[in-house]
Amino acid sequence: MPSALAFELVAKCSTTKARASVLRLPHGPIETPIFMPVATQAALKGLTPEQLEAAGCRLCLNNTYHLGLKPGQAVLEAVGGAHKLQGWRHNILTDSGGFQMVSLLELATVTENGVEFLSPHDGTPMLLTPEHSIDLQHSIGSDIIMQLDDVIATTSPDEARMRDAMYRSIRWLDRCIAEHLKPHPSSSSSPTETYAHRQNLFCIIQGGLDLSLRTECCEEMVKRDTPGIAIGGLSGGEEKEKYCAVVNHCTNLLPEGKPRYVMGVGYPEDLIVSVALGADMFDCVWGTRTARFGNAITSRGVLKLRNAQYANDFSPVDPDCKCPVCAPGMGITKAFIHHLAAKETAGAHMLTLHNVSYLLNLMNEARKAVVRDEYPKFLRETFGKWYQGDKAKFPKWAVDALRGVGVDLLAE
Amino acid sequence: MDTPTFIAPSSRGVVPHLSMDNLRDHTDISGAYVALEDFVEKGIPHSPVFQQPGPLRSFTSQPSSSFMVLGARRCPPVPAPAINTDHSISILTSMGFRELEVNDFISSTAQLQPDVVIGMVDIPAARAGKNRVPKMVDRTELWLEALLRETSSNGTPTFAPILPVELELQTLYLQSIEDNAEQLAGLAFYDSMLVPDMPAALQGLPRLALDDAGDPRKLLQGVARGVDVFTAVFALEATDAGIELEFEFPGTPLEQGVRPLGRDMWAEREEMKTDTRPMVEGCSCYACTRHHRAYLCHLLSAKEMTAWVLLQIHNSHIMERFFAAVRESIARGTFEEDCRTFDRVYEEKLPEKSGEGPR
Repeated sequence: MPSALAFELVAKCSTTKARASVLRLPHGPIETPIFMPVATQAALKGLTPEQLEAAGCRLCLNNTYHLGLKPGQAVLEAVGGAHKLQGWRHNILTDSGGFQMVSLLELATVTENGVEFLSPHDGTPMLLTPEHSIDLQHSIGSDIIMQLDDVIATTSPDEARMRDAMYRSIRWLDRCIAEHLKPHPSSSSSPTETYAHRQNLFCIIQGGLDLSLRTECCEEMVKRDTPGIAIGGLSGGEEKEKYCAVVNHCTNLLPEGKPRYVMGVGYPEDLIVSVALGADMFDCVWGTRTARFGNAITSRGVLKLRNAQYANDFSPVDPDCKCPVCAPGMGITKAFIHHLAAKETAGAHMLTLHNVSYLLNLMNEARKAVVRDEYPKFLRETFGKWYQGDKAKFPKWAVDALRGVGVDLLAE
Repeated sequence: MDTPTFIAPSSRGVVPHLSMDNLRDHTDISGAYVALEDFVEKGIPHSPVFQQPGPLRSFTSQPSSSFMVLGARRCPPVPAPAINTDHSISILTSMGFRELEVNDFISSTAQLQPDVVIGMVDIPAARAGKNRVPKMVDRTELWLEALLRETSSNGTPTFAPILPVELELQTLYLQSIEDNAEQLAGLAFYDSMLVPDMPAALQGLPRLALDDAGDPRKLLQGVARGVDVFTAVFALEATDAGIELEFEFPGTPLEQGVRPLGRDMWAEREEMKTDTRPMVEGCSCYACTRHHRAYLCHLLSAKEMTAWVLLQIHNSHIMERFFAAVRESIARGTFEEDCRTFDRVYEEKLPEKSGEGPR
């Protein structure tokens, strides 16, 4: 199918499956591996788009479900899409809205036609079909759009339902593609130009933790030739070993020349392990949410700055970080953030800015290490710092997963 | 610091909603009023602000260019239920109501090193009766004298507080202030209506208004009375209510009708939801140059915190521009005439607050 991106592999790790690439999107190039902050309702909790841009973000998420409710499709159309709405010059990725329905709305039910749910505004029954999701994402104008998929918690014991969901996700992908291949209304100069020439549809591999289902889904979806591929249904509380097995399995089956996006992943450890397993793109709300609880993601691990031990700690949040909160010239200390945490929104804003900067930078450093072909060394050093050199504390799942791609985290 | 101007009433040492980078990059606020009660939940000297080596400015990572005024209580204070005593006042910390010893307040100035400290005042939560007022005056006088003994040796510039009671009732206190005038750096008014009535010996001192003007017209009246620095709480309250300010000084008359002083974005979020014009056309603040009404309406409607960040940046900018224009007008010698123009150009009041705050 047509696409509006170019994926250029820049380097491959000679030990692990890690890759570095340049992904050229309609609103400029991005470099992978990449972490994508989640600006759910066209704003990243208390930050301005300019702050996000200054932190180095060039691709952020918006949630289709939320934008569909507020400001709504008509406003998005009138304003000219989500970029114009939020004054964002760079790229946007939107999800399909299906995951939010199922996770946020208790009364959502999935039928072959789509996701049926009750409007959170007035309780009237509504239906989100694959066609409607794509149509909405066309109005949003995001650079990367996601297919509507049938998402089941990976921890669900119902194998038959999981199998159905996987097959349904393939059928819905076909409906999404058909919708996406419709002519773009403003394509008068070139009557054959479709939405697919302007926005990139990614498929979403489903199949739970069952590797044979994942295999089948990968094979079927790869045939559809979408410009990018997501691995979905993970990060739902499954065991980390199983998560790694699925990612590792899928990346083995996916074409090398397309970006791979693991949805909903954002713990620092998960990010750098998943990169080693061959994934390129990640998103997660955890980093920004945990900031609002006073937790700082740092090179020395996650610090709960609301704890009393930080009340008199007059050092920067992360001495290795170069964000505006940690920059020496600003003089912001852990004690000051402790003083503000959960009491002043400005404190949350600063920690949000730091955490987003940390995750963006973590992926930049990972990328540089891949380009230098020193990714195993990067993994050992980064884990070493997080756990203050105490290898006994390294999580077993990470040690095992990395051993599977040729890296011994415990080696000297 | 060029006056007349305003300083921001801070909350726990920050201008509400503004991260330090936004404060630095998008505002030009001259200074901040900081309340000791925001920093002493673990008492004096156990609270963190006293554990660090530097002054209050470094604890709150305020830029060195920012003018920092320290008082005991917030501006405006939350009424505290306990009664003040001869040697303490009732304050509200983040961990509840506490007593602040006058001596602790006084001794804290040596380490906190604000640009200005305001003497502690005895203002009861309830309206003071006939017998209570003399006690207010006596205590405030004694507390100021004690403070001056400390600050004259530690070098902290000190403002004498002027109580919000009739001038005749604090005559003796004013006399003692006059006697100490050489040690004073300025006067802080809890009721800025009293500014013109100060004795001649105090006329040369800078005047800070701690009462809220409430709207720009009253700011102008305050300037005319001789106030130099305002705390301008109403601008912050406008932000919280979702109101953007849009007055300038003296303002350009419309052919017909009057201009609004501000606009309630919350109330008008439906009408403006597809309006891609800036909040205020021609405004050079970050929020108006990079974003539009439709975005603000969306953010308010979605209760996204970024709404209040953008409003705060904008409203601060309006206040900065307003005071810059007032200073120019005074320098030109056209202030009175410009005030009359402002009166004609703008409607009388800010929009009523109908919106919902960020918390």
